[in-house]
Amino acid sequence: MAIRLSEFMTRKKVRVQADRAYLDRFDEVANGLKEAGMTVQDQIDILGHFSGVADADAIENLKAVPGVAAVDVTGDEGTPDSDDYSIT
Amino acid sequence: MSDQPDTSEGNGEVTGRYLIFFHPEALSDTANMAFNVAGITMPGTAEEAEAATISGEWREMNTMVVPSLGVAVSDMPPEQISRLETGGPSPIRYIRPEYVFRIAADNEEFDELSISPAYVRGYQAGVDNLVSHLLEQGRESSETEIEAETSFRDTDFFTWGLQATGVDQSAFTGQGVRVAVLDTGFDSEHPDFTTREVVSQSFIAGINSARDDNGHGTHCLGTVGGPRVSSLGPRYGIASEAQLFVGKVMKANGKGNEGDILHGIGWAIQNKCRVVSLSLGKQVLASAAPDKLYEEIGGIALQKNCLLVAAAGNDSSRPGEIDPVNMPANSRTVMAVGAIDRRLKLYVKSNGGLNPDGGNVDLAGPGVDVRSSKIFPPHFGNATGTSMATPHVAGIAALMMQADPAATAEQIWARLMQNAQTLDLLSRDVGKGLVKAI
Repeated sequence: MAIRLSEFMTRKKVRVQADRAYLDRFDEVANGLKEAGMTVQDQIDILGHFSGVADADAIENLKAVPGVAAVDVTGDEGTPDSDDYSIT
Repeated sequence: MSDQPDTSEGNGEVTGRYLIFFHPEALSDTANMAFNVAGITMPGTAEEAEAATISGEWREMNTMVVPSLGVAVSDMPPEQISRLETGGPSPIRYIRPEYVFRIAADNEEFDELSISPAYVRGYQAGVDNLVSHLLEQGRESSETEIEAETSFRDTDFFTWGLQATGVDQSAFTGQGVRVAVLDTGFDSEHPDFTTREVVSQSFIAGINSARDDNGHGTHCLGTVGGPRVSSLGPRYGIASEAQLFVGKVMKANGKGNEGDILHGIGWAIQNKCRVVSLSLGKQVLASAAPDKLYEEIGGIALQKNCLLVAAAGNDSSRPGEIDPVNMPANSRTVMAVGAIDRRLKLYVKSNGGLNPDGGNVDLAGPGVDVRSSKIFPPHFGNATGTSMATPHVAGIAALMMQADPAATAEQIWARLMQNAQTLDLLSRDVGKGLVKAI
């Protein structure tokens, strides 16, 4: 019986930041991310910032989407956001 | 009509003498006018006043002037005191009896006192200075003079930080400029903010209001935009007429996550805030490149005409250990602020510009023993950190933005750098130097 490898792979929480050169077309970036396998759960339109989940093997595809500046994996799906910033 | 001098003895224990507080800008020959009204001849200029005090002329009337503190101590009888005009155009700000203070020798926490102990200490230092002048009359002590030039203290009128940055001399108030502070929230019932319109929002899941449950945010907000006249003690706020936006992105424990911070930044830009004060950060490894995410966020903010100002961080333990500038301050597109003390020396924990490509410190601000608003009575107190230096830069940016509303955020950044006072410290630690108001 064939079992798809991805079913055993953990889905990752990701933060994606668009390049500022795409300031006027962040929606293009959003569409590209969805096509590349990201489930966008939250976005900050004015900043071109997207967070959501994607299969671990889709991360490289997300990085290749035109207009993407940075892809950060912030944990496994379902884990809470890390409070890793402090007041100074 | 001018206010009547307070010649009552009130509830406190008094010495029988009176303190006459002058407006700082009036410490010149204008003070003469007020004394003339009372039938008293005062030496013409502040320098002459001090000289006359030193030479003893004024002791005949038992009044001692300390122009550098903006105060005179007098035991003129109440009827004579009452002829001195205060308020309105008078150079005299107010007059009150001199109280007897009792400060526990080991009481380092200023919050217990009803009147700024920094003032009391300043007063004491001023008197000490005067006595030493008297004792060493005719003998110049250049060392003492240099010390006096490079050490600020909170006066009755201004915190040391407002003096060091020249905010005390600025005619600008930030009027019409929107400024955001993203922190632990703010205390909307603080006596200095009850009549101030502040737009606030929480970005933390499960927390519906921006009420400050830590205190850090209220302190930072006070430095950015506290009122021109505080309800207690010296002025500590910079952009006193700016439109303040408070985003709660940090929790009661002083921690927060990136998503909430980014939502706060987006909200501030959406609301056309011109500057965002970020007294927060995350440690990065030595030699780490700046985070690409904040390179873009800061760049987008600048393109939207908004300047992000962030704390360099307090991870160092100088002189032995110097840690790199925190994220997000370590980005080329985010301004990084280090901290100095009242002697214009580096704060021992202030991080340094060790990392490449934006990991440098841009400016320094007052960050040690900074008085501002607090959430618990008596609602004022000191705090230390690059967190305190950051809102000094943000507030001064707002003054510059009011002065030239057409200037872009990038131009304001350049002006902040150009206008900085060079310090006798490494640019690695303070960038272009101490931020200065216009």
